[in-house]
Amino acid sequence: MTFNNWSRREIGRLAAAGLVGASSRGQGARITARQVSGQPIYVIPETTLGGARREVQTKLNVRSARMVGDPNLRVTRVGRGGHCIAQCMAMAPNVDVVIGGEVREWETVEYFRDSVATGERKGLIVLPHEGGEEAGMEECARWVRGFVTEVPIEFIASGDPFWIPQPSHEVRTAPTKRLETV
Amino acid sequence: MSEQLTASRLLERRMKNVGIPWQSQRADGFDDGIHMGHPDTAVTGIVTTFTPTFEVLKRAVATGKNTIICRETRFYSRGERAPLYFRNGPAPPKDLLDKDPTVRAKREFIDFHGLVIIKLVDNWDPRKTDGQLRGLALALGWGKYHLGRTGEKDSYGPGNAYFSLPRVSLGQLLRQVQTSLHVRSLRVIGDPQSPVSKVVVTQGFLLVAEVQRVFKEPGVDLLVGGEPVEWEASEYLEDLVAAKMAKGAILLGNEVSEEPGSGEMATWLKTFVTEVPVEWISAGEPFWTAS
Repeated sequence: MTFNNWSRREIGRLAAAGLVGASSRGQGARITARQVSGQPIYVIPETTLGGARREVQTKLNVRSARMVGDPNLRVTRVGRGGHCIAQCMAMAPNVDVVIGGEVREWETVEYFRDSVATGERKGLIVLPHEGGEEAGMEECARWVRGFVTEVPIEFIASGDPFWIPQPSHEVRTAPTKRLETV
Repeated sequence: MSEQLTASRLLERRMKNVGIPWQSQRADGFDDGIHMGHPDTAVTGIVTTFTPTFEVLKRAVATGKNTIICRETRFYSRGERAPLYFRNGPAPPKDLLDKDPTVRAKREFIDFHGLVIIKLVDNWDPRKTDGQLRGLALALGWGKYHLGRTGEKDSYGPGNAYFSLPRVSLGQLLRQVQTSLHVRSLRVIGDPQSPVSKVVVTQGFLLVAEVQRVFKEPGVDLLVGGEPVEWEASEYLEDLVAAKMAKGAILLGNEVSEEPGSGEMATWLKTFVTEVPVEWISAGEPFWTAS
C-alpha cells in the first residue's frame, strides 16, 4: 500500500481523533470529544486556548506546539485544519480554535494573527509536523499486524524534533512588540 | 522644492540605489513591485516591516504613513504560481478570500486609507551587504564575533554568516538569544549541555540544501535560523546531531529571524528618502507558548 493510499484512508481520520480523545499516546486524556457532522470538528468541554494547547501536548506527546491568539480565549469547538491555509481558513468560521500541523508561517499563522486583530475570537494551535501524523502511524502498525503475523511489528515514534526553552519572566509576559527602533 | 514623492517615483529611486542589477519580474509573478495601492499615490511616510499585519497597517496610519515596504504578502499567500520550493499549499481560492471577514476588513482598511504596499525581497537579499544577515547579527549582539572575510570591505556579504562565540553551553546561549531578541517561542534541536562556539546564522525559510551548504564550513557547531520545513530541514538537523556532526539548531521562527533586516532596510531607505519619515515597525513574534 502506498503512502498516499494509507494517508487518504486513515491518517486524516486518525490524526483528528487522536488529537481530541482517541489517541493511545500520552497520558491523562481528560477531554471527551464529540465529533460534529462528519467534519473534523469536535466539541470539547470549555477550556482556554492555552489549556487546549497543554492537553494536545500531553495527549500527542509533543513539546513544541505553539499558538496564535489570546492564551486565555475560551474555546469549545475545535477543528482539525491540516497544513494548508485554504483548509484552515475554510474551517475558521465554524470553530473557536483550529489545530494545524506545520502550517507555513507566512500563511496560516499570519491569517490568524490578522483575524484576532480584526476582533474575531479565534485561536490557532500549530503542532509540529510529527505530532500531527505520528498517532496515525501507531494505528498503521495495528493494521499491518492484521495480515502480517510471522515477523514482529513495532511502532517507534520519531518524537518531536524540537523543544522550547522556558522563556524568562520578562520575555514571557512582555507584549509582542519588540525591537521597535532602528 | 523638488517634485513630489509618489509611489512610482519611490520605486525608481529604490531601483537606482539598490546597487545591483535590478531583477524586475519573477516567473511566479510575485515581484518586487506595488502589490496594493496606486502608483500615483503621494507618499506621506514609509514603514518597513517583515509582513504587513493588520496591526502594522493600523500603526502606520496612526503615525501618518501610507506606504509599507515588506517581505511577505498582505493576503497570506505567495501566489498561485509560487515555486514548489516554498513548500506551501495552494493559495486560498478567490471566492474563499472574497467572503472571508478578515480579508474583507483588511482590504477595506487598505482601500479606505489609500495605502500602498510594496514588496522588496529579491532585489534586497543579494545586495553587497546582506541586510537581513547584518540586522539579525547585530540584534543578537554578535557583531564582534563575526568571522569577516579578509580583504573584503563589507564583511556582511551574502553567505558570510559565521560567528565565533566564546565557548558556552547551548542552554546558556539560548538564554542570551531569548533576551537579546525578546523571543518567547523559539524551538531548539540539541542537548542544552552541549558546548558551542562556531555558529552559522540564517534567516527565513530553511530547506535541506541550505543546511548542507552552511555545514560544509568546517567546525560549525550550531545553526541559528528561522522556519525549517519539518519533513526536510529539521529532520536533517536532527540526524546531523545524532551523527555527532553538529550540536544543534536554534529556530527563531520566520518573523523573528527576518524582522531585524527591516530595520536595516529603513536605515538604507533614509539615505535616499529625506522628504518623508521612514520608520521600521516590527510585526512582532506571532506565537505564544506559555499560558
